[in-house]
Amino acid sequence: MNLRIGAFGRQESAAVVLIAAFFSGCFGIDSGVLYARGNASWIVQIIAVVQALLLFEGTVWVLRVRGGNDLSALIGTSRIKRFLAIPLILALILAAMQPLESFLFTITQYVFTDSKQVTAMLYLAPCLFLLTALGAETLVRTARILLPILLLSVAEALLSGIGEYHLYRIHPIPFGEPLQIFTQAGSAQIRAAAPLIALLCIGEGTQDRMAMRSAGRIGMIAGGLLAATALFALSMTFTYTQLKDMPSPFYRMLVEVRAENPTLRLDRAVLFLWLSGAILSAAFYLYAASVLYAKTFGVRDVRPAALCMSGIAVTLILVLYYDSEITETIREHLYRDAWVLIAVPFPLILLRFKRRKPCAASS
Amino acid sequence: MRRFILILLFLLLLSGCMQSKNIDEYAYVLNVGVERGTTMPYLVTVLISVPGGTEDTKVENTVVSAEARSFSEAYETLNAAYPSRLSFARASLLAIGEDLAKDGAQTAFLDFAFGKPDLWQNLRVVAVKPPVRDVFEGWISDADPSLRKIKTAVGDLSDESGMTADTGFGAYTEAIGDKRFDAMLAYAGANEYRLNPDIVGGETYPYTGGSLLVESTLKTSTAGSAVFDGDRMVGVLDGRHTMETLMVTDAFRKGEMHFTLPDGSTMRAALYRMRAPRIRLKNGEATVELRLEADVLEPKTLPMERNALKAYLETQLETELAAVLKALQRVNCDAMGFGRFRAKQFRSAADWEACDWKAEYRTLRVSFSVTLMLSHGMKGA
Amino acid sequence: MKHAIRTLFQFDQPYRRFELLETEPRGTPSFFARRQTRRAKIKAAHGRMDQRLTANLAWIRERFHTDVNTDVILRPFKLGGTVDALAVSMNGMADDSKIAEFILRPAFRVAVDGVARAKLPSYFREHALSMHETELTDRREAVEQAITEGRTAILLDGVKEAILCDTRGFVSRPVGEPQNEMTIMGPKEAFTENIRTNVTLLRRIVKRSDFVCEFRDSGGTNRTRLALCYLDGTVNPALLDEVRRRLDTISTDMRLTVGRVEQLIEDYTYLPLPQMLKTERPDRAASAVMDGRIALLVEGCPQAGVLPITIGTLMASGEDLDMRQPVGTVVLLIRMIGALLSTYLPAYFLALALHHPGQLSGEILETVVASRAMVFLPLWMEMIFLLLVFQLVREAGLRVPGSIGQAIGIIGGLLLGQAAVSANIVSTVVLIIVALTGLGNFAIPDYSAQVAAAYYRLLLCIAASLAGLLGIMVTGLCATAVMCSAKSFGVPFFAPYSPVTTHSEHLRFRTRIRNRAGTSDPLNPEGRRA
Repeated sequence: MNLRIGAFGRQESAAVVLIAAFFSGCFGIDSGVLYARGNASWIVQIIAVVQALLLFEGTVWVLRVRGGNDLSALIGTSRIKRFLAIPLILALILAAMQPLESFLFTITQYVFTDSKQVTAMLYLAPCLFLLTALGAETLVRTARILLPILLLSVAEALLSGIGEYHLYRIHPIPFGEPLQIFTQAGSAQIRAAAPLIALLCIGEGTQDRMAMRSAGRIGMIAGGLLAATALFALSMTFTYTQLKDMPSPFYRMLVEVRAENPTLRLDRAVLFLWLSGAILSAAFYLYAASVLYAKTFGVRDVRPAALCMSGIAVTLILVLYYDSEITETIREHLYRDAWVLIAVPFPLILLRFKRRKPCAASS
Repeated sequence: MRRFILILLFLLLLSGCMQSKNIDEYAYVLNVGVERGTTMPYLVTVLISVPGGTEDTKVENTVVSAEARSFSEAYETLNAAYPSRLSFARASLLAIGEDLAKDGAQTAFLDFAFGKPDLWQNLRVVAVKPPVRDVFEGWISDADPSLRKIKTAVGDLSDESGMTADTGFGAYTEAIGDKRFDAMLAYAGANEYRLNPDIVGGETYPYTGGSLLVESTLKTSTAGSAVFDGDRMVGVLDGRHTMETLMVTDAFRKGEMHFTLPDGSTMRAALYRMRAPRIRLKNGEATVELRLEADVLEPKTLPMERNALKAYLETQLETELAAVLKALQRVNCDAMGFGRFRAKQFRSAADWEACDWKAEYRTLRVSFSVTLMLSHGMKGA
Repeated sequence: MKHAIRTLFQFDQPYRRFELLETEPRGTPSFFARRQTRRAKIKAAHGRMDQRLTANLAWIRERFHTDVNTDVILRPFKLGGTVDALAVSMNGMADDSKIAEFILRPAFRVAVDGVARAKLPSYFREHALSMHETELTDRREAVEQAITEGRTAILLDGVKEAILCDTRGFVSRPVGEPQNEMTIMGPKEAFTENIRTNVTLLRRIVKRSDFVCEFRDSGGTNRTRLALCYLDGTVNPALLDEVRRRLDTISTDMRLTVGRVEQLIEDYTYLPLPQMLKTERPDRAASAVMDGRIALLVEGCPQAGVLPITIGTLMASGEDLDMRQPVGTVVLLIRMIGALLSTYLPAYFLALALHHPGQLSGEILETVVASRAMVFLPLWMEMIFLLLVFQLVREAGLRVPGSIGQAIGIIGGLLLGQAAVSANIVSTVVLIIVALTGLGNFAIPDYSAQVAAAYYRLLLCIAASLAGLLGIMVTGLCATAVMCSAKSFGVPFFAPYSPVTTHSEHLRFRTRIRNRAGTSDPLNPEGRRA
């Protein structure tokens, strides 16, 4: 078997989950959908994190009861049940696409204004392919190395904007529509639950189930709350009416809070630093999807699957960029309704079906 | 695997690189101005700085204008006319001509900028009395060839004197797109722009604290502010009224004011912000509590008994604030931003959007309460 | 069709790479299979010595090509006046006076009457031979190797066993000062070409009975002597076995040096970073050994290879621990900043100047543009040209004798730079950036790591001129990931930072010396700091 999972500790796993949770939480959003009816983004994020953690704890509990180290142990390799992995794989690919898509838009729209998405993608794709193919061990270790730098840049970006924050901008808080908040939190599951699902897929590499559980908890709570903080800071920088039509709000926030700096501006450097975090989390999801596929379908080498998954993600991003009404609708639906990909298979995976007694020989 | 990556790298090279230009092939636009054109809707004026221009000065500044139907057209025309490629990466000031702003016609023109944060990230927006070219040329002086300081100068003037508003492009777009408050822009002009009447009326206050004697032919000064209703400019506030409006929006830091005392003498005092204003809004009535520190600079001795003077100044400020608000209500401009507090009372965005705040604003009753902490010559002039 | 799809998705190559941290608890793999087969081959080729002296003489004449190779001295004599004997040595390698004084003189005087032929070698060794280090062997391979090393083989007629006496006495360079790893506070000794001297230099520092110097010879035809120096009982046994196994796989006809041995036994051929630390300082090698690492000495190479290493080892200098903790922390920090500057600064500048000019402040922009006013080369070409010139000056300075080397540095740095600026080939700002880069590069203590930094710098510059900060990010991320996946003899490069090991060393920049009791943690040796 060449699954390239390797072995890694709790800190590394927590680091990769934290990075993935933060970047999906902040950059996996569609402003048009999230801010269409007021700004409850940070509340939505917190609720989504709680929901994802409940799902994760439940899965780990079932793993403990039934024995097994990762998600594929629950799905099994039976001919029918293994197809339950497919929606999860799709969900992971989608989760990988969302932040990348947002960054690609930012790059081509605001940084390299004369370049096309394909050109920018030609730079991003080899990096994504390489990271995905290098395997889990490399990914988590790179995450551990990058984590302090990324956290520092996020903290700096959030703190340097304090002068621009105004509390009045967060109003009206749509507490009057709790149903809408919960619906949005449900829709946010792709970006909230993906880091934990990916961690469950590579659970074999963690020292044991307990290490996986605590890494998932720490990473998700830290990353999810950091994302919620960043979304709150964003809400204090722009009103929901502005955010509604703002495709990459975090870059605008970066730019907005740095406008006064008379010497060297660092907004682009920070943007590309964050892009490396987004690529890392995308590679993490894609690799997890490949491992899940390889394990449930009995493929013994993860690399072809990893390349395929990355290829699919890259192609889909480029296709969805094609400016037309159809792609616009598809994109909106993917952001709003893709939670089904997680909500439907998970109960079936967690439930144990009693095996039917073998029938007596008919002959 | 390795072969695959090599093929990808090869593709990458085939695709060509991101377009780049050498740093010295650009001319950097520092200021952009737009006003009404004579043959076409817009007259776009840009102040260009060419670094490394001549031998003795590092920078060469030029003002170039073009008439066009849209920004992109103007951009093309200017680019075609100018030998270097124009870069807006360092643009720091957007000047909107008063003639254009009175009809709100600048919004259609500015649509280009909303999608380009690299352009608007640094922009400070000012309203100017046309012609823009005179204003820009007035800014070029031999004393400081580095014009990029204009932007910080406007900001500093606002921070240090409170006599002009300091509005970035972000705040300007927020004011236009949202009904929580209306835009208030710094007002600049060359020479005779002071002839524009202040909308509050009554006493004629100078735009600046003193009375500036302008002698040269082209000299640009910035003071006072232009106020907007949505995207339409509806009037001008002089320096003192601007200062009072900023006190309510919490953008005021410090400034100087002259007061006429009951005996007819005048008194000069420096005012400092002590804490954020407290604004409460309920059932169509608002209360505004301001707390300021007043340091009497002139005359050398207190002209009245301390408590009596304090009460007199507080009353005078409250009266003036009420007059400014009344004038603003008359032109339908919520420059003081009461809408920010009205929005807090809603629990859903739909309800807030359905609310006709501007109609409520016109009949809003506001009581101002100013508390001064009086000192004498403590902080100096 | 189904088959085709299956084969597309199911090609698998087992991923068996030696991993110290991960595989250790699962037991050590078996290592000696290849060594045994090689021995079997050698046995077939050489076999045992013959009883007849004439046969042995013929074998020696054939092996050493004595008809043309006059270096081999064959000295026949009669042991005790009765037994035919032959002393074989290599001219220049063996000390003539030692042979005459301590072998031949007692050989003529010893009385061997009544001694059985079979016991003659041990009798001679015990009663007559006044040599300190002697050995009996009947293996032709051992005899052959002993002669090539400068020892003397005494062959007796009618006896299978040969006596090997240590008569090595070739000229060698005395212990000198380190040339490349200068320190202010540390000792001023350096390794020499003599492996024995080098071992002695190590032994003088590591005064422990468990300090083992395991001599082995490399594979291939020219069997160079190697020495593995380690603390038995401290060094991780899995690591030791793995190193032995890899050394056994060497089969080359090249002259071996530490650098070549490294490339023959490393994992990642295409990684620019070294996977073994090459040091000329015995104190550094000894500290590594005491930390639980292995030092590899190669005959004829005045350097020791230290393995396994991490990124911290490459960034450490020999005297780091001699400095006080706060000062040491600052020095290490400056070194890190220097390394980062040297790798990223030119690329970052190129990216900003070519693709993101808005990020530079007005003042810097004006200065840069003014300095480039008359320069005809495009900026990226100017930068890459200057970087190459810098490497050229450096290489030229390295290859010529000391004082001229310094002169070349001055000529290259001052004259060439000044001339290039006044001839409008390069601009002053770019010159300053390249100079800063060069300074930062010299802050990296290890020469191989300096070269690796230069490699990454060039790569990043190309990426930056192609795609600005995007290019830098993509290249930097790929390089970081590849370095994170790399291991030096099973130890991840970024340990103890990633993966984090049990010791909290990674939380502090430079630990207090009091907390450094025990051995290095990432290697999993005995008695590690935890």
